[in-house]
Amino acid sequence: MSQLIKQVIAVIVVVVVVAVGYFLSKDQNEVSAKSIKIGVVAPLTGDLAFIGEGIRDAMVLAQENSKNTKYTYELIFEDDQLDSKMSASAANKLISVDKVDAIVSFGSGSGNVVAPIAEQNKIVHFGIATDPVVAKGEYNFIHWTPPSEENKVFVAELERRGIKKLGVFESNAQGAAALIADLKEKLKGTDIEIVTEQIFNSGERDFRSIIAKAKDSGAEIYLVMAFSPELEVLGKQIKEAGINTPLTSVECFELSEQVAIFEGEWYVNSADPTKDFTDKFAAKTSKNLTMGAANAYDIFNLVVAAAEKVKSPEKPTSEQIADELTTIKDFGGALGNISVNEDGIVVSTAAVRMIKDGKPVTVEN
Amino acid sequence: MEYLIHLGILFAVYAILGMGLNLVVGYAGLLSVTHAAFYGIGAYTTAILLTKSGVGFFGALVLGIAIATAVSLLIGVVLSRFKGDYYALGTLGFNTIVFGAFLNWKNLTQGSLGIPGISRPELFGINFTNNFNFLILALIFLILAYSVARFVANSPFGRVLKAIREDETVISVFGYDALHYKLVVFVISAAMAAVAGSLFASYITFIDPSGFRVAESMFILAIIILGGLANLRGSLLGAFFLILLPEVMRFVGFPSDIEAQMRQVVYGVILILLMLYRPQGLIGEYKL
Amino acid sequence: MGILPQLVLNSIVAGAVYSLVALSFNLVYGATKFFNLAHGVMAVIGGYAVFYFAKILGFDVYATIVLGITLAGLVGFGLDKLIYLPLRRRKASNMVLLVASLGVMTALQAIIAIFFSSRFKTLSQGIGAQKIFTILGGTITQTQIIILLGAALVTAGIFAILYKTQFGRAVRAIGDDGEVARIVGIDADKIIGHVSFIGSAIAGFAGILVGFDVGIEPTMGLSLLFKGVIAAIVGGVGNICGGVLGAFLLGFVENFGIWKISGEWKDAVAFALLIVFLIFRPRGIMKN
Repeated sequence: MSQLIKQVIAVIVVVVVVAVGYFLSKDQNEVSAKSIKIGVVAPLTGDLAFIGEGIRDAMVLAQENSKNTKYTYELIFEDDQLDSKMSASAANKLISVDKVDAIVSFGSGSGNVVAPIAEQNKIVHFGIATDPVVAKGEYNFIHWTPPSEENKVFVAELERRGIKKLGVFESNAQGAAALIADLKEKLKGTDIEIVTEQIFNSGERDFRSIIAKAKDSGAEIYLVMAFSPELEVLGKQIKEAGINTPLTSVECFELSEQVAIFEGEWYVNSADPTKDFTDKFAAKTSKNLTMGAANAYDIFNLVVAAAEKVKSPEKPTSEQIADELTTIKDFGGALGNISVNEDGIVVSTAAVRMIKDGKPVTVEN
Repeated sequence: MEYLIHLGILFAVYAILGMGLNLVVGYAGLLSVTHAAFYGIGAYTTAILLTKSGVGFFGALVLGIAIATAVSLLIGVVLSRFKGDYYALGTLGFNTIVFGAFLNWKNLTQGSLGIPGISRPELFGINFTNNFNFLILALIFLILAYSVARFVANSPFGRVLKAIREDETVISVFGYDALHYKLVVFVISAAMAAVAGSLFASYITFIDPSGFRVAESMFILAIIILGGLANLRGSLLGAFFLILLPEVMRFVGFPSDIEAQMRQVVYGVILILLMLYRPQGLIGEYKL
Repeated sequence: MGILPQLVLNSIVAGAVYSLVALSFNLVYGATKFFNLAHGVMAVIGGYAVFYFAKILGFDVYATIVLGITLAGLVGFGLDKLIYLPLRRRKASNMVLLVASLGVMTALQAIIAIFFSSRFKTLSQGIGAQKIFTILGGTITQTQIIILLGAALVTAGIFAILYKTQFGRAVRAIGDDGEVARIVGIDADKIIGHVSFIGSAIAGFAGILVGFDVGIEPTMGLSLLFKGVIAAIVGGVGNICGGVLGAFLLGFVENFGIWKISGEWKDAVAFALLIVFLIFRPRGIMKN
């Protein structure tokens, strides 16, 4: 290794260390007394960047609409690409450098990584995730209707319609897997049978052969557990295969970019994003709602509500915010009337809806 | 401070990964793109044993090494017959298949749900949930790994590896069984990757398949190419930069809606510039 | 008969897309002899060009397709002149070129995402606009028929160029032995530039077709590229005819694999095919 190279490397190392040190100290000096910081860990690049972008837009919207509060609320976004080590790095940076008072994550993978870090540092953590393990601990919360709630309503509707043979198209990803596993439990003891179960990997765009496999199974209805864009491509290819069997889903249809594909189909949704919220979101971003955006909006408002309720002359600590959060009931959110239960999970009841004229409509039973 | 400790632990894990891969790529000249598979084997073994059985961290570590050794022996025998680009593609294929196993062998790995709640190691009553203690543990492993790698690289075994890298036909004329040497170094590097995997699983307490696909193997490859092939300190340097760079970029003020994408652009441009102006990496001895 | 006709149709359509990618890859690889990771991004550029000009600016669809193909070709040509040519002049090894192309791929994908966001988009008007045909019990859409025709035409065209023109002879000469070709007076760099243009244009065309059939997203290039590479290797790298055969074999193995195993293993099956060929018939189906 020549002298020159050694010098170059030494210079680079020094510059990097100084830069990091400078930025670390700079942020510490900017902590203001009355400002509550909410850190957000979300996929801002990579395949699911549109979800991270939706969450960011929704939370900024919530921040803009939040008025007359005792404290100011700041949002800091960090990208994690849904990669475990980046989620951990983002969470650590937000907590120990930015000194956030609350942290939000998306996805069970991220949530499971961030949760122990948040718990250890006693920072409120809200996950938008299906895995209930994410809510373990005093400081961890989840805003996402648990699969068992959704399935209760789903199975009831299947029975009501007299459906005995169910076909399943399932994305090989956490959210779908958790739901189907729970569904299989619930179907034991009923006379409803899953006659075909086709699993595909995220990123797949050619479903034609699994559709061909499912076609012969005699299913009366297909449960499609997929998210954009697999959802639309799958729906389109099912129609192109000349299959007219009805489609149903839990959660997914409303988040679709092309809701019209599912015209006339009923499905189960974890409560309805209010028209008010959907309109505001569309006005701000001119895009459709993405997965978790409404939840993120609510989380911002829940944290604000909890922080505002804390009776203290100084800025509320994370512990105080956590305590207040568990007392929140019947809160009017973007996902309707929500309450935080004692496990730290925000519960909203699932509902049966249908796409009519391109719009979701709740089905009254 | 916590943030720096966290980065330090990541650095240690990726430095171990880099050094292991450097033995295969830098010293033996085999372009292997499957390192993440062995990383994953170590991680999953630790995850499963620590959550579902009474086996402790060190027991799981040993078992992870054993499994990685067995799998790498199998894969290595098949792969050792390939050359150059074909070797790379073959390894890439194996990585995809092993990843498929992590994702779809649901009874064992819980598939995409992942395995949460992995505990930290238990040793002499030291509290490893304190990240600083864990950092010390990780650094100890790093030093051990460095010693092993250095021993391999500087031994007569290592010299034969370099000779194979330069001209395999010549060395076989001298009576050295190149296949045997390539296999042994591949297995050693797989074992090292498994150790890194065990450390990572226990630190981050949650494992899912997404961290062990081909993209991860490419990332580890980028670390050793940047730092310099056939130079162990180069792997340390490469790990230092590639773990730190995205973190430093967090502080650079791009407008938030394109910030993350801009980081990717910068990363790509750095790779291009490196290849154009310094292909041996920062302190490498072997020009790619 | 049941499911068989549909599976066969699916396999043929998939094979047609892969054959275009394999064809373009073989062309470029034959001339430059390195694994260009950014080749897949050319497909993405073609797709997004059509998206931008047709869907956003509202130009005539056929004109934008030509525009998209040309644009992809130009980008490929430009990259060759800017990055790969200087590297070749420095006698850079294949690994350096590969890493440089990794940088190019990372940067370009991110730039496309900055301009168009990373959301999936379709080029066609949406469902219901497609004409659907039934052949022997299996369904096929109009777009898919166009894919078949397009692939056939392009393949025929490339054959004609390679075997009936002087340019084609020069390309084949460089593919066989670059050194000798240069000695004989062929301006290899100029030819490589042209080949980069053509190969990237074909890839762009493939991306446009996929865009109409399914849709586009910034990261779709890499998986398309891998399928094309598997097809090329199975068929015999550099061999145009072999690439086409390999592509259809891959299409069949994937879809029949789904039938016999299940959808989650699709990628693993594709790579298993690759490995089987690498082990037992590394020169591919066609004896060169």
